[in-house]
Amino acid sequence: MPATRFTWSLLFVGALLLGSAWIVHSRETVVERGEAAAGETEAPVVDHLAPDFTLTTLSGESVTLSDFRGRQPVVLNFWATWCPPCRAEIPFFQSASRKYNGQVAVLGVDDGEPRATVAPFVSEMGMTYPVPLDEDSVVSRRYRVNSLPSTYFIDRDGIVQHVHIGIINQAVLEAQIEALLGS
Amino acid sequence: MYPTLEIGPLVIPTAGLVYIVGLWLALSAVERAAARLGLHVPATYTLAVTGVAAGFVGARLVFVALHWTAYSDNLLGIVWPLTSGFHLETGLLIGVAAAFFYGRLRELPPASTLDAVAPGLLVALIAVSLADFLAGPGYGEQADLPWSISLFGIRRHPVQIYEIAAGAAALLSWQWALRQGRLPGRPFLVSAAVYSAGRLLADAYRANAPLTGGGYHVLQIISLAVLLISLFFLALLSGGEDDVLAQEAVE
Repeated sequence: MPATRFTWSLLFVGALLLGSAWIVHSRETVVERGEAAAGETEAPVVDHLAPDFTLTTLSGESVTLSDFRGRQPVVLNFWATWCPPCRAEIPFFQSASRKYNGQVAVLGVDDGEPRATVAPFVSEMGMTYPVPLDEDSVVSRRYRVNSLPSTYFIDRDGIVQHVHIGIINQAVLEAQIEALLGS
Repeated sequence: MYPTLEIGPLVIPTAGLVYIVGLWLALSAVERAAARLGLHVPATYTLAVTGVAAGFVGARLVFVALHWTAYSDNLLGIVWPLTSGFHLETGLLIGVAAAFFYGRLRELPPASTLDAVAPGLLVALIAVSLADFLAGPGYGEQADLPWSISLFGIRRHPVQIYEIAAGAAALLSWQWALRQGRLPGRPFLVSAAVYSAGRLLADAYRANAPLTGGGYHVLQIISLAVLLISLFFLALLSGGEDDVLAQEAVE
Protein backbone atom coordinates (compact mmCIF):
# COMPACT_ATOMS: atom_id res chain seq x y z
CA MET A 1 0.00 0.00 0.00
CA PRO A 2 1.61 3.30 -1.05
CA ALA A 3 2.06 6.08 1.50
CA THR A 4 -0.76 8.61 1.49
CA ARG A 5 -0.67 12.39 1.33
CA PHE A 6 -1.30 12.42 5.10
CA THR A 7 1.77 10.20 5.72
CA TRP A 8 4.05 12.39 3.60
CA SER A 9 2.68 15.54 5.24
CA LEU A 10 3.35 14.07 8.67
CA LEU A 11 6.89 13.19 7.58
CA PHE A 12 7.32 16.75 6.27
CA VAL A 13 6.40 18.27 9.63
CA GLY A 14 8.54 15.72 11.51
CA ALA A 15 11.54 16.38 9.25
CA LEU A 16 11.15 20.13 9.63
CA LEU A 17 11.08 19.97 13.42
CA LEU A 18 13.65 17.22 14.00
CA GLY A 19 15.95 18.39 11.19
CA SER A 20 16.04 21.96 12.47
CA ALA A 21 16.67 20.76 16.02
CA TRP A 22 19.50 18.49 14.78
CA ILE A 23 21.15 21.37 12.89
CA VAL A 24 21.03 23.57 15.99
CA HIS A 25 22.38 20.73 18.14
CA SER A 26 25.25 20.09 15.66
CA ARG A 27 26.20 23.75 15.72
CA GLU A 28 26.96 23.66 19.43
CA THR A 29 29.42 20.79 19.12
CA VAL A 30 31.00 22.20 15.97
CA VAL A 31 31.92 25.53 17.55
CA GLU A 32 33.68 23.76 20.42
CA ARG A 33 35.30 21.33 18.00
CA GLY A 34 36.56 24.11 15.71
CA GLU A 35 38.41 25.75 18.57
CA ALA A 36 39.90 22.48 19.85
CA ALA A 37 40.75 20.58 16.67
CA ALA A 38 43.07 22.97 14.85
CA GLY A 39 46.64 22.29 15.70
CA GLU A 40 45.80 19.61 18.22
CA THR A 41 47.79 16.84 16.57
CA GLU A 42 50.67 16.71 14.15
CA ALA A 43 49.62 15.01 10.91
CA PRO A 44 49.95 15.70 7.17
CA VAL A 45 46.19 16.12 6.91
CA VAL A 46 44.04 19.22 6.44
CA ASP A 47 43.33 21.11 9.69
CA HIS A 48 46.24 19.44 11.50
CA LEU A 49 49.61 20.81 12.55
CA ALA A 50 52.11 20.13 9.75
CA PRO A 51 54.80 17.68 10.99
CA ASP A 52 57.94 19.60 11.82
CA PHE A 53 61.34 18.87 10.26
CA THR A 54 64.79 20.30 9.82
CA LEU A 55 66.66 19.71 6.57
CA THR A 56 69.70 21.16 4.86
CA THR A 57 69.13 22.94 1.57
CA LEU A 58 71.20 22.54 -1.55
CA SER A 59 72.95 25.81 -0.72
CA GLY A 60 73.92 24.42 2.72
CA GLU A 61 71.44 26.35 4.87
CA SER A 62 69.37 24.66 7.56
CA VAL A 63 65.59 24.95 7.16
CA THR A 64 63.17 24.19 10.01
CA LEU A 65 59.48 24.25 9.14
CA SER A 66 58.35 25.50 12.56
CA ASP A 67 60.56 28.60 12.10
CA PHE A 68 57.96 29.86 9.63
CA ARG A 69 55.15 29.61 12.20
CA GLY A 70 53.68 32.99 13.02
CA ARG A 71 55.71 34.55 10.18
CA GLN A 72 54.47 33.36 6.80
CA PRO A 73 52.61 30.51 5.08
CA VAL A 74 54.60 27.70 3.48
CA VAL A 75 54.09 25.82 0.22
CA LEU A 76 55.84 22.48 0.64
CA ASN A 77 56.41 20.64 -2.62
CA PHE A 78 57.85 17.11 -2.62
CA TRP A 79 59.59 16.22 -5.88
CA ALA A 80 62.43 14.29 -7.48
CA THR A 81 64.56 14.72 -10.61
CA TRP A 82 63.38 11.41 -12.14
CA CYS A 83 59.69 12.43 -11.95
CA PRO A 84 58.40 14.02 -15.23
CA PRO A 85 55.28 15.64 -13.70
CA CYS A 86 57.53 17.23 -11.03
CA ARG A 87 59.67 18.67 -13.80
CA ALA A 88 56.58 20.03 -15.55
CA GLU A 89 55.33 21.90 -12.50
CA ILE A 90 58.67 23.39 -11.37
CA PRO A 91 58.22 26.57 -13.52
CA PHE A 92 54.93 27.20 -11.70
CA PHE A 93 56.63 27.03 -8.29
CA GLN A 94 59.47 29.20 -9.58
CA SER A 95 56.97 31.77 -10.81
CA ALA A 96 55.00 31.65 -7.53
CA SER A 97 58.15 32.02 -5.42
CA ARG A 98 58.96 35.25 -7.29
CA LYS A 99 55.41 36.58 -7.37
CA TYR A 100 54.82 35.98 -3.63
CA ASN A 101 58.39 36.68 -2.48
CA GLY A 102 58.31 37.76 1.17
CA GLN A 103 54.68 36.73 1.60
CA VAL A 104 54.88 32.94 1.18
CA ALA A 105 57.81 30.54 1.53
CA VAL A 106 58.10 27.98 -1.26
CA LEU A 107 60.15 24.92 -0.30
CA GLY A 108 60.92 22.23 -2.88
CA VAL A 109 61.87 19.15 -0.85
CA ASP A 110 63.78 16.70 -3.00
CA ASP A 111 62.81 13.17 -2.02
CA GLY A 112 65.53 10.55 -1.64
CA GLU A 113 68.28 11.76 -3.96
CA PRO A 114 71.90 12.76 -3.32
CA ARG A 115 73.18 16.30 -3.68
CA ALA A 116 75.21 15.31 -6.75
CA THR A 117 72.05 14.36 -8.64
CA VAL A 118 69.94 17.31 -7.52
CA ALA A 119 72.44 20.16 -7.95
CA PRO A 120 72.84 20.04 -11.76
CA PHE A 121 69.10 19.59 -12.24
CA VAL A 122 68.27 22.62 -10.07
CA SER A 123 70.80 24.66 -12.01
CA GLU A 124 69.41 23.49 -15.35
CA MET A 125 65.83 24.33 -14.33
CA GLY A 126 66.82 27.73 -12.92
CA MET A 127 65.23 27.03 -9.54
CA THR A 128 65.96 29.88 -7.13
CA TYR A 129 63.66 28.87 -4.25
CA PRO A 130 65.12 26.76 -1.39
CA VAL A 131 65.55 23.04 -2.13
CA PRO A 132 65.89 21.08 1.16
CA LEU A 133 67.39 17.62 0.61
CA ASP A 134 65.51 14.71 2.16
CA GLU A 135 68.14 12.16 1.14
CA ASP A 136 66.88 9.35 3.40
CA SER A 137 63.19 10.15 2.70
CA VAL A 138 62.58 10.58 6.44
CA VAL A 139 60.45 13.68 5.97
CA SER A 140 58.53 12.31 2.99
CA ARG A 141 57.68 9.22 5.06
CA ARG A 142 56.50 11.47 7.89
CA TYR A 143 54.27 13.24 5.37
CA ARG A 144 53.15 9.87 3.95
CA VAL A 145 54.17 10.92 0.46
CA ASN A 146 53.29 7.93 -1.70
CA SER A 147 53.13 9.76 -4.97
CA LEU A 148 55.32 12.47 -6.46
CA PRO A 149 54.73 15.31 -6.82
CA SER A 150 52.75 16.11 -3.67
CA THR A 151 52.20 19.62 -2.36
CA TYR A 152 51.15 20.79 1.10
CA PHE A 153 49.76 24.26 1.71
CA ILE A 154 50.50 25.31 5.29
CA ASP A 155 49.14 28.53 6.82
CA ARG A 156 51.03 30.95 9.07
CA ASP A 157 49.93 29.01 12.17
CA GLY A 158 51.54 25.85 10.80
CA ILE A 159 48.19 24.22 10.00
CA VAL A 160 47.81 22.19 6.79
CA GLN A 161 45.09 23.91 4.73
CA HIS A 162 45.23 21.86 1.54
CA VAL A 163 46.98 18.79 0.17
CA HIS A 164 47.46 18.36 -3.57
CA ILE A 165 48.55 14.96 -4.81
CA GLY A 166 49.86 14.88 -8.37
CA ILE A 167 50.80 17.61 -10.80
CA ILE A 168 49.41 21.04 -10.06
CA ASN A 169 48.75 23.81 -12.56
CA GLN A 170 49.71 27.43 -12.12
CA ALA A 171 46.18 28.69 -11.56
CA VAL A 172 45.41 26.14 -8.84
CA LEU A 173 48.76 26.87 -7.20
CA GLU A 174 48.08 30.60 -7.16
CA ALA A 175 44.49 30.13 -6.02
CA GLN A 176 45.69 28.03 -3.07
CA ILE A 177 48.39 30.57 -2.19
CA GLU A 178 45.83 33.38 -2.31
CA ALA A 179 43.62 31.32 0.00
CA LEU A 180 46.57 30.91 2.41
CA LEU A 181 47.22 34.64 2.35
CA GLY A 182 43.53 35.31 2.89
CA SER A 183 43.35 33.00 5.89
CA MET B 1 43.72 6.56 4.22
CA TYR B 2 44.98 5.06 0.99
CA PRO B 3 45.73 7.98 -1.34
CA THR B 4 47.56 5.77 -3.85
CA LEU B 5 47.45 2.21 -5.10
CA GLU B 6 50.81 0.67 -5.92
CA ILE B 7 50.86 -2.07 -8.56
CA GLY B 8 54.52 -2.86 -9.14
CA PRO B 9 56.17 0.32 -10.41
CA LEU B 10 52.78 1.88 -11.18
CA VAL B 11 51.36 4.32 -8.60
CA ILE B 12 47.69 5.11 -9.19
CA PRO B 13 45.87 7.85 -7.22
CA THR B 14 42.90 6.03 -5.66
CA ALA B 15 40.60 9.06 -5.81
CA GLY B 16 41.02 9.35 -9.59
CA LEU B 17 40.46 5.63 -9.99
CA VAL B 18 37.29 5.73 -7.87
CA TYR B 19 35.96 8.72 -9.85
CA ILE B 20 36.49 6.96 -13.19
CA VAL B 21 34.96 3.65 -12.05
CA GLY B 22 32.18 5.56 -10.23
CA LEU B 23 31.32 7.52 -13.37
CA TRP B 24 31.15 4.35 -15.44
CA LEU B 25 28.94 2.62 -12.84
CA ALA B 26 26.73 5.71 -12.54
CA LEU B 27 26.12 5.87 -16.30
CA SER B 28 25.44 2.12 -16.35
CA ALA B 29 22.93 2.57 -13.52
CA VAL B 30 21.09 5.24 -15.54
CA GLU B 31 21.03 2.96 -18.57
CA ARG B 32 19.63 0.01 -16.59
CA ALA B 33 17.06 2.18 -14.80
CA ALA B 34 15.87 3.66 -18.12
CA ALA B 35 15.33 0.14 -19.52
CA ARG B 36 13.46 -0.91 -16.37
CA LEU B 37 11.21 2.15 -16.54
CA GLY B 38 10.46 1.56 -20.22
CA LEU B 39 12.10 4.82 -21.35
CA HIS B 40 14.02 5.40 -24.56
CA VAL B 41 17.37 4.00 -23.34
CA PRO B 42 19.83 5.66 -25.80
CA ALA B 43 18.22 9.09 -25.32
CA THR B 44 18.23 8.80 -21.51
CA TYR B 45 21.82 7.58 -21.51
CA THR B 46 22.87 10.44 -23.81
CA LEU B 47 21.12 12.90 -21.49
CA ALA B 48 23.29 11.65 -18.60
CA VAL B 49 26.47 11.77 -20.70
CA THR B 50 25.57 15.28 -21.93
CA GLY B 51 25.13 16.47 -18.35
CA VAL B 52 28.47 14.99 -17.24
CA ALA B 53 30.42 16.25 -20.26
CA ALA B 54 28.92 19.76 -20.18
CA GLY B 55 29.50 19.97 -16.43
CA PHE B 56 33.13 18.87 -16.78
CA VAL B 57 33.95 21.25 -19.63
CA GLY B 58 31.93 24.08 -18.09
CA ALA B 59 33.61 23.74 -14.69
CA ARG B 60 37.02 23.89 -16.37
CA LEU B 61 36.23 26.85 -18.62
CA VAL B 62 34.75 28.89 -15.78
CA PHE B 63 37.86 28.18 -13.69
CA VAL B 64 40.10 29.21 -16.60
CA ALA B 65 38.10 32.42 -17.08
CA LEU B 66 38.36 33.27 -13.39
CA HIS B 67 42.14 32.67 -13.38
CA TRP B 68 42.92 33.91 -16.87
CA THR B 69 46.15 35.65 -15.89
CA ALA B 70 47.62 32.25 -14.99
CA TYR B 71 46.58 30.76 -18.33
CA SER B 72 47.14 33.65 -20.77
CA ASP B 73 50.81 32.77 -21.32
CA ASN B 74 50.26 29.03 -20.85
CA LEU B 75 47.40 28.00 -23.15
CA LEU B 76 48.35 24.31 -22.93
CA GLY B 77 47.50 24.55 -19.24
CA ILE B 78 43.80 24.86 -20.18
CA VAL B 79 43.71 21.22 -21.27
CA TRP B 80 46.51 19.72 -19.17
CA PRO B 81 46.81 18.70 -16.39
CA LEU B 82 43.15 18.02 -15.65
CA THR B 83 43.61 16.63 -12.14
CA SER B 84 42.47 19.92 -10.62
CA GLY B 85 41.28 23.39 -11.60
CA PHE B 86 37.49 23.17 -11.80
CA HIS B 87 34.76 25.52 -10.60
CA LEU B 88 32.49 22.80 -9.23
CA GLU B 89 29.36 24.80 -8.37
CA THR B 90 29.11 26.41 -11.82
CA GLY B 91 29.99 23.10 -13.49
CA LEU B 92 27.10 21.48 -11.65
CA LEU B 93 24.69 24.17 -12.84
CA ILE B 94 25.94 23.94 -16.43
CA GLY B 95 25.64 20.13 -16.36
CA VAL B 96 22.07 20.24 -15.04
CA ALA B 97 21.12 22.93 -17.59
CA ALA B 98 22.64 20.94 -20.48
CA ALA B 99 20.82 17.76 -19.42
CA PHE B 100 17.56 19.71 -19.04
CA PHE B 101 17.78 21.25 -22.53
CA TYR B 102 18.75 17.91 -24.08
CA GLY B 103 15.74 16.30 -22.39
CA ARG B 104 13.47 19.04 -23.74
CA LEU B 105 14.95 18.66 -27.21
CA ARG B 106 14.34 14.91 -27.21
CA GLU B 107 10.95 15.37 -25.51
CA LEU B 108 11.80 12.95 -22.70
CA PRO B 109 9.14 12.68 -19.95
CA PRO B 110 10.60 14.83 -17.13
CA ALA B 111 9.41 12.86 -14.07
CA SER B 112 10.28 9.40 -15.44
CA THR B 113 13.65 10.68 -16.68
CA LEU B 114 14.43 11.94 -13.17
CA ASP B 115 13.50 8.46 -11.87
CA ALA B 116 16.02 6.93 -14.29
CA VAL B 117 18.75 9.42 -13.43
CA ALA B 118 18.37 9.00 -9.64
CA PRO B 119 20.34 5.73 -9.27
CA GLY B 120 23.17 7.20 -11.36
CA LEU B 121 23.32 10.30 -9.17
CA LEU B 122 23.38 8.15 -6.04
CA VAL B 123 26.18 5.94 -7.38
CA ALA B 124 28.17 9.07 -8.27
CA LEU B 125 27.65 10.51 -4.78
CA ILE B 126 28.74 7.20 -3.22
CA ALA B 127 31.90 7.33 -5.38
CA VAL B 128 32.65 10.88 -4.19
CA SER B 129 32.34 9.75 -0.55
CA LEU B 130 34.51 6.68 -1.18
CA ALA B 131 37.20 8.80 -2.87
CA ASP B 132 37.11 11.19 0.07
CA PHE B 133 37.43 8.25 2.48
CA LEU B 134 40.45 6.87 0.62
CA ALA B 135 42.29 10.04 -0.23
CA GLY B 136 40.27 13.15 0.50
CA PRO B 137 40.59 15.87 3.08
CA GLY B 138 37.43 14.98 5.02
CA TYR B 139 37.48 13.29 8.41
CA GLY B 140 35.12 12.71 11.30
CA GLU B 141 34.81 14.05 14.79
CA GLN B 142 36.73 12.25 17.55
CA ALA B 143 34.78 9.25 18.86
CA ASP B 144 35.72 6.04 20.63
CA LEU B 145 33.07 3.76 19.13
CA PRO B 146 33.43 0.12 18.03
CA TRP B 147 33.24 1.24 14.39
CA SER B 148 35.55 4.28 14.74
CA ILE B 149 38.58 4.46 12.47
CA SER B 150 42.04 5.50 13.58
CA LEU B 151 43.52 8.48 11.76
CA PHE B 152 47.05 9.41 12.83
CA GLY B 153 46.51 7.82 16.23
CA ILE B 154 43.11 9.41 16.92
CA ARG B 155 39.88 7.43 16.70
CA ARG B 156 37.23 9.21 14.68
CA HIS B 157 33.74 8.80 13.21
CA PRO B 158 34.05 7.17 9.74
CA VAL B 159 31.90 9.98 8.37
CA GLN B 160 32.35 9.05 4.70
CA ILE B 161 31.15 5.51 5.49
CA TYR B 162 28.00 7.07 6.96
CA GLU B 163 27.56 8.96 3.69
CA ILE B 164 28.01 5.75 1.69
CA ALA B 165 25.41 4.07 3.93
CA ALA B 166 23.02 6.95 3.20
CA GLY B 167 23.59 6.40 -0.53
CA ALA B 168 22.97 2.65 -0.20
CA ALA B 169 19.77 3.27 1.80
CA ALA B 170 18.61 5.72 -0.88
CA LEU B 171 19.22 3.12 -3.61
CA LEU B 172 17.13 0.59 -1.65
CA SER B 173 14.38 3.19 -1.17
CA TRP B 174 14.40 3.80 -4.94
CA GLN B 175 13.71 0.07 -5.45
CA TRP B 176 10.98 0.20 -2.81
CA ALA B 177 9.32 3.20 -4.46
CA LEU B 178 9.29 1.43 -7.83
CA ARG B 179 7.52 -1.55 -6.28
CA GLN B 180 4.78 0.73 -4.85
CA GLY B 181 3.23 1.13 -8.29
CA ARG B 182 3.85 3.30 -11.31
CA LEU B 183 3.84 6.93 -10.25
CA PRO B 184 6.40 8.95 -12.26
CA GLY B 185 8.66 11.05 -10.04
CA ARG B 186 8.09 9.07 -6.86
CA PRO B 187 11.27 6.92 -6.99
CA PHE B 188 13.37 10.04 -7.57
CA LEU B 189 11.72 11.98 -4.74
CA VAL B 190 11.82 9.08 -2.26
CA SER B 191 15.52 8.41 -2.88
CA ALA B 192 16.31 12.14 -2.69
CA ALA B 193 14.47 12.34 0.64
CA VAL B 194 16.27 9.31 2.09
CA TYR B 195 19.72 10.43 0.91
CA SER B 196 19.30 13.99 2.16
CA ALA B 197 18.01 12.72 5.53
CA GLY B 198 21.13 10.54 5.78
CA ARG B 199 23.45 13.44 4.94
CA LEU B 200 21.59 15.66 7.41
CA LEU B 201 22.41 13.13 10.13
CA ALA B 202 25.95 12.23 9.02
CA ASP B 203 27.29 15.71 8.41
CA ALA B 204 26.98 16.49 12.13
CA TYR B 205 29.92 14.13 12.66
CA ARG B 206 32.21 15.69 10.03
CA ALA B 207 35.03 17.53 11.77
CA ASN B 208 35.91 19.90 8.93
CA ALA B 209 32.49 20.63 7.48
CA PRO B 210 31.97 24.02 5.81
CA LEU B 211 30.10 26.34 8.17
CA THR B 212 27.94 29.42 7.91
CA GLY B 213 28.99 32.54 9.78
CA GLY B 214 26.89 31.41 12.73
CA GLY B 215 28.56 28.00 12.93
CA TYR B 216 25.80 25.98 11.23
CA HIS B 217 26.76 23.21 8.79
CA VAL B 218 26.16 24.36 5.21
CA LEU B 219 25.57 20.81 3.98
CA GLN B 220 23.05 20.11 6.73
CA ILE B 221 21.02 23.16 5.73
CA ILE B 222 21.10 22.12 2.05
CA SER B 223 20.17 18.54 3.03
CA LEU B 224 17.20 19.71 5.10
CA ALA B 225 16.00 21.91 2.22
CA VAL B 226 16.23 18.98 -0.25
CA LEU B 227 14.47 16.69 2.25
CA LEU B 228 11.58 19.13 2.78
CA ILE B 229 11.18 19.86 -0.94
CA SER B 230 11.14 16.11 -1.70
CA LEU B 231 8.54 15.40 1.00
CA PHE B 232 6.41 18.33 -0.18
CA PHE B 233 6.30 17.03 -3.75
CA LEU B 234 5.71 13.46 -2.53
CA ALA B 235 2.66 14.71 -0.61
CA LEU B 236 1.53 16.56 -3.73
CA LEU B 237 1.99 13.48 -5.95
CA SER B 238 0.29 11.15 -3.48
CA GLY B 239 -2.69 13.51 -3.29
CA GLY B 240 -3.40 12.80 -6.93
CA GLU B 241 -2.91 9.10 -6.35
CA ASP B 242 -5.23 9.18 -3.30
CA ASP B 243 -7.98 10.70 -5.47
CA VAL B 244 -7.56 7.96 -8.08
CA LEU B 245 -7.67 5.22 -5.39
CA ALA B 246 -10.77 6.79 -3.80
CA GLN B 247 -12.47 6.99 -7.20
CA GLU B 248 -11.62 3.32 -7.86
CA ALA B 249 -13.04 2.34 -4.42
CA VAL B 250 -16.32 4.16 -5.20
CA GLU B 251 -16.60 2.41 -8.54
